[in-house]
Amino acid sequence: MSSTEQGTSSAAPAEPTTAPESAAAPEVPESFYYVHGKDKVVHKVSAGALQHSALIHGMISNLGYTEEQAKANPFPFENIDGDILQMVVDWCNQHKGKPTPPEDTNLPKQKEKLFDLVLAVNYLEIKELLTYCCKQVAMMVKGKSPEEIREIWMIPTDAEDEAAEKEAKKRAGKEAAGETAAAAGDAK
Amino acid sequence: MASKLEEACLKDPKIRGHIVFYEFRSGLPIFQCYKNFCARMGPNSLDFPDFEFWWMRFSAGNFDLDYDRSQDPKCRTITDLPMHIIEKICEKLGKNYQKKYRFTLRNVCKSFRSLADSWVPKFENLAIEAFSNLFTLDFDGQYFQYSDENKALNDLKSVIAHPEHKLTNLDIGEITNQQFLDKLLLEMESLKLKIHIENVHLNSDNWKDQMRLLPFYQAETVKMVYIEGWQERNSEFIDEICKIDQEERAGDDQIEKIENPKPKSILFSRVEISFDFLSNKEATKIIKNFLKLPNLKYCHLKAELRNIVQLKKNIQRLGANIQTDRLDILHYPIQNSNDVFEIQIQLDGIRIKQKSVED
Repeated sequence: MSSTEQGTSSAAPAEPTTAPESAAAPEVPESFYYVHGKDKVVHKVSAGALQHSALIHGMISNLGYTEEQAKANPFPFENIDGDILQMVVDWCNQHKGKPTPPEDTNLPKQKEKLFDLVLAVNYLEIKELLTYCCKQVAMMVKGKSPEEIREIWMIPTDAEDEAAEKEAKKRAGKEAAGETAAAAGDAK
Repeated sequence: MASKLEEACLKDPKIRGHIVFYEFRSGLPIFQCYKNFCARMGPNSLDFPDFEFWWMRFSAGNFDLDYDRSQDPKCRTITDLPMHIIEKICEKLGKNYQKKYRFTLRNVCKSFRSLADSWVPKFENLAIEAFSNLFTLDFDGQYFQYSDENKALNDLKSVIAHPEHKLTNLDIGEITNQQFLDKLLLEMESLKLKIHIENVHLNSDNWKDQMRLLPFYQAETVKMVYIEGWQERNSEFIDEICKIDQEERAGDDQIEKIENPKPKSILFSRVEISFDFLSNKEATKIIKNFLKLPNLKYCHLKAELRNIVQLKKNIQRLGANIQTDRLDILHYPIQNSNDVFEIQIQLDGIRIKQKSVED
């Protein structure tokens, strides 16, 4: 695993907000956890930031890791692309301990990225971020016609869909036939 | 034909990339390269999209032959999202999104159609019009106009065929396109539809078309049938309604009752008919017809009456008696029953109510 720690940089913006608090209140050391996505890049995130994710929060509560154990066992999210996980971590850090605003305009404008982000956020159970993402996706098509929606959301028409399905079946049939033929050849 | 070695080579994606690279180096156009490749390795040895992928990478100056295509970034679309997320996205389209976007979304694609069709339609009022090339569906004041007959039928069917849909008002407007009506009736018949409707609005202008739709209404849910139109046509229409009732009861033995426990005539148990003008002669005829309907619970003939004294006399001749305490009310005994029809005649119209004598 390429354990390139990016946590210090991503967790950094949260520090100024915690500093004055720690000066006033008795110092409670903040615990950190580690996550990585498909690209194996490890992100160091504070427990406060991770509270946004019901999934990770549940994992933390159940595992009861010490600092060392957490460092040695980053939570693996192989189904999330590295850049998407980075976005999620950044969002969690930015909104650590803060009430979430009614709107979030810092979401990706690129459709594919947004859909990936929706899937990741849904998996990580980050309710507020999921709401923002869903709203952003919905706003893309508000007041649009079926044809425009198809274009914006990149959805094939029923006819195209059927043709693709037929083609996929045909290809699968061909491949299966090829494999059986190859297997028969090997048996000989 | 490709040898076994060649086949084995083609199975390995890296070797495949190398072979394409060899063809690419020839400097020929892509199609020529592919042709040469197929001639060398055998036809159908590699799909053109696969060949194209490598060729385009090389032409872009990317010669990384170790690239693993299974790591291709997948281009996600909204249909890759789970259904509950899509539903959440739809919710963000605004209040009443199910009403506003139902027909838009169901015409986007198959999966969206399933989603939109799963929503219980909350439309209370529906009006339908069908002209030769224009079909209008008015759902709660939202007009949907179609030039494609099948699209209109499909959207209409998706609502009326929903088992939980309850319509308060159904208004069948002008239908000049008979093909549309025929198709609609055929669909309704194949689906064995019985639409839940509370108020049926009929227009005597096209009553013959509307009569064809009546068997598809759930008679027991109909609270009131409103009839509007010209006097002559209304009279003809009312004659027809009464004729149906007579026909039904003529052959109304036990077996038929079991098979068809809700006869059409129950639809017309509560009727409100609006006339621009109603002559005494017509009014007498209509009342005479309605008095033959034992299922009639309430009937209001809204019309400006001129000579109600004469009209009362006419009704009396039919066998009704004027009540001594209320001179505007007559009672007509219902055959084989202790109930009576209470007929109230006033200048603004006539009301017929079925009443128990004890009331």
